[in-house]
Amino acid sequence: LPEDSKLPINIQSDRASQKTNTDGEITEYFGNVLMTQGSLKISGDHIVVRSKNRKVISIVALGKPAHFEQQSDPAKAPIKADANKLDYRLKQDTVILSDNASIEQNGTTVTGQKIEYNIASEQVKAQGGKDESSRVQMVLIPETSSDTEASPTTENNNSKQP
Amino acid sequence: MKLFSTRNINTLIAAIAGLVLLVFLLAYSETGTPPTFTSTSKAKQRPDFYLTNSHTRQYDEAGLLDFIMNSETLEHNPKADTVSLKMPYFQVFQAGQATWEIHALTGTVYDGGNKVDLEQRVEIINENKQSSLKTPQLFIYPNAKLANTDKPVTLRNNNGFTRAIGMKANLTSKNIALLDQVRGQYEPTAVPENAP
Repeated sequence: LPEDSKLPINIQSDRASQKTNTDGEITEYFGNVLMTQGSLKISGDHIVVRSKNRKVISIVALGKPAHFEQQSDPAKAPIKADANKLDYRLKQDTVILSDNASIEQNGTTVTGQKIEYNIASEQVKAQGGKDESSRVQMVLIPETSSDTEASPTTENNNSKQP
Repeated sequence: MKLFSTRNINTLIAAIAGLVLLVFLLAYSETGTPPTFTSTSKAKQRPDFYLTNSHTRQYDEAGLLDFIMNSETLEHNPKADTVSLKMPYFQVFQAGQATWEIHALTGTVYDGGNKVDLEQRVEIINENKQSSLKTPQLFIYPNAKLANTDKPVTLRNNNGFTRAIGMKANLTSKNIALLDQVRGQYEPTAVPENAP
């Protein structure tokens, strides 16, 4: 939701470790890690939070896969994304998914080697890999006449129409 | 009348040096769960010296105040070679850095100062209340420059807090490991301009 980025970020895990240096803190959370910020959820096996005086700069989630979910609009279905690496950059309000990346809303799915999702604009940029399996794939569910929801605007630079 | 033997002074100073090291640990806090203070049977021998309302001030080679230690009572137990402190309070000064305050309801110095056990409402706060740590019990190993506890810890600073059960801290590298049931909260506010 729009107000998500103004809400506190909560994290829970089995274990954690923190290193402090002049640039700030690097806190790593291990084991069943779940991060929530309003309707935004990120889960994974290992989450690394970079912060300065505990003001979060970036959050990187690793997993098989790591998972992202957010209700961008109360009237729409939540956006769900998976990837082995998920980089949530607060300043740009963007999530960068890499390595087996996929993003889905309302049945519309985009997969590829790397996907960049801008939370504010709900814009998805997808990028494929060299081999066949990691090219950008998109599955669009035809909108029936009764279906009034619009799917997110998508721009991809080397997509293959299924 | 010579109250302290050199050996006892060294024990006491080693213990205090340990606490000085502890302040390099960046800490957060809130009240932990009620202290699960397990009474360990302490052989209650007669102290060979004790002080009440003791105020200790230590200065460094340049004559600058290093730390202040107050304690309601301070007893040296010759048999166990321990120093027991009641309501120990330390104020630690560091050139160019915030002053730290450490207090607890009780403290015990073991093994010639190699191990310091602070118990019951242990609290470490820095002067401008930027960060603090609270736990019911904390073991400090001055020579090894380590501190740990298996009790709940709460670390707090003005942009969030972290709670866990159990902590290990390396006072040199300032690395902290939180051992179980970690719950953290960060304030979402401003992100540094030069963030990637």
